[in-house]
Amino acid sequence: MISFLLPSIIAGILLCISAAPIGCIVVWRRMSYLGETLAHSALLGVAISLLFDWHTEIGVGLVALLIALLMMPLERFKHLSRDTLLGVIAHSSLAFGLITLHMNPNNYVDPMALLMGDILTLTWPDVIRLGGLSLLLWSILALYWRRIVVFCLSEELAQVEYGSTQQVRIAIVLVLALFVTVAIKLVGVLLITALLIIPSATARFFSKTPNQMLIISLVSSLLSLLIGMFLSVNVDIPTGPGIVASAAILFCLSKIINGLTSKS
Amino acid sequence: MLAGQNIPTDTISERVYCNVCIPSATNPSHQAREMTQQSMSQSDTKAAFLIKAHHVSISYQDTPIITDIDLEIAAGQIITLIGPNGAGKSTLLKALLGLIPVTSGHIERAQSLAIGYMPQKLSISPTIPMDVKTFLSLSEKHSRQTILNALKETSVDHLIHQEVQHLSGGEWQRVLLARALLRRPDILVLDEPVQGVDINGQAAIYQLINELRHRYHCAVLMVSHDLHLVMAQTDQVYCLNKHICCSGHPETVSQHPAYQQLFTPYEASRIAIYTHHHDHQHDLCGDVEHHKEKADD
Repeated sequence: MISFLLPSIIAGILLCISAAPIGCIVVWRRMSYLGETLAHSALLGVAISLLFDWHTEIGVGLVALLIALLMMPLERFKHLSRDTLLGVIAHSSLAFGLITLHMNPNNYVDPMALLMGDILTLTWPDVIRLGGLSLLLWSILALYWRRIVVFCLSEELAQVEYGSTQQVRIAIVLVLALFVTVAIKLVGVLLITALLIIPSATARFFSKTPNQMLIISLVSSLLSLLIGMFLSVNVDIPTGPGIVASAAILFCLSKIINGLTSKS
Repeated sequence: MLAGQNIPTDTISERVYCNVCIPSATNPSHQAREMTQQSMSQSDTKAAFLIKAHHVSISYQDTPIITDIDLEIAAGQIITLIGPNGAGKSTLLKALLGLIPVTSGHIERAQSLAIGYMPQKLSISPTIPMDVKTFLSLSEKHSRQTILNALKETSVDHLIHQEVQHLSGGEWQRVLLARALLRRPDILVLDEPVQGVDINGQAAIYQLINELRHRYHCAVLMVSHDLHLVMAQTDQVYCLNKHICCSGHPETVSQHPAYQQLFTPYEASRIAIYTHHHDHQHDLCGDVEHHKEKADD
């Protein structure tokens, strides 16, 4: 039983370790809609991978990276707001992804698996690929963490301290694109952003420094992962939604506890 | 017109930067001057200046922000840049610090110059948790004791565990000042340190700056949008409105009976009046109109 679940548990833990810092960044920078857009675009990535018979990660990674980098110059586009542009990209990539999937006769993919993820069917080779990508992601984060924190606190301050903020901006979208690539198989298109922001939002109640928030966010996402997987195996609910629902319940409990303690 | 009568206007118009050239023996900041000269001869024999701007112009998308600025900051000096909103003060400051490129001219900085910069009204994101202690060791690691000492210098050590988003305006300014001190600066660069602070508070902040510059043996470059009141110990005032309109030495408030009625002796000893000597006027577009000196300037 446990050996059958082991690859899934390890992949889940890898994902949580990435989700905690990136979730914090997304919450600090208020960019959950960008995460959402990249997640939607992942569907197009999956469709392209199937078409060319690549590993899923290659197509997803390429599309996510392309869109993340495309957003940077588009942000200077003054007539349309950022969320309008993101909305355009998110839903058009979703539509094109579904069309591409439908037109590919060789493979039948269960759209539910794409939307909700399927963490329980992971194999060791999957885990090794995800581990490699996670390592890349963590090294970018480790290299830029301090700058990212300064940038999230105040763009002006980052400008003063480091001259240009361009590198940090690129680093942030890069890790976000990598995260989507890692997460798509595990939790699916619809729930990627939830896994990012809910544990970090929970952590915000209890933290006074960025690193505290990082650690609490990690603990809360690991907790959600384990509870979600446990429920999924024992009560037969879909795993991805189970994990996110656990995270949501933790969030609500934290809010209540926070409300009670701050009043007294 | 009252002020500045014992400062020869030719000295001002020639913009002589050398300390000894301002021949005001009765000046209350005379002592500070002597100290400045001492510290200059002791510590800095190779370079008398810390930052020097030569004919600096900066344009943004073909719109000139500042043109043909010449100025020099020597060790231990206090320089105040004044000018109306949009005059290019912050731009000049950032250029002097090397944060933005100049369009023409050049800026020289003394080698391994440690700059403590206190930016103007930083906007801080409310979404990120950040206490004062973490904030002060963000860009450079410092021990708790070092941070506490810096906060003590600006009398806000009790706030070390506060979240920065919850600080009042005055507290935040003092935390930013402490942050600038952590660099062990040769020059403190303060962008509007007394913005939105009442006259008593201004006197207190000027007092603090004066103490700090003696303790840290640093020069001070300050920006203020108050066109007439500056810190009493200021060595040189530059009035900026896209170019340097005039420059010179301020007069201490206490020398003018009219102002003595307005200020307590404590305030009067900290704050000085700067009298402008403009030979031109700026219209709404910022263009220069030359005219005879106005009586009510």
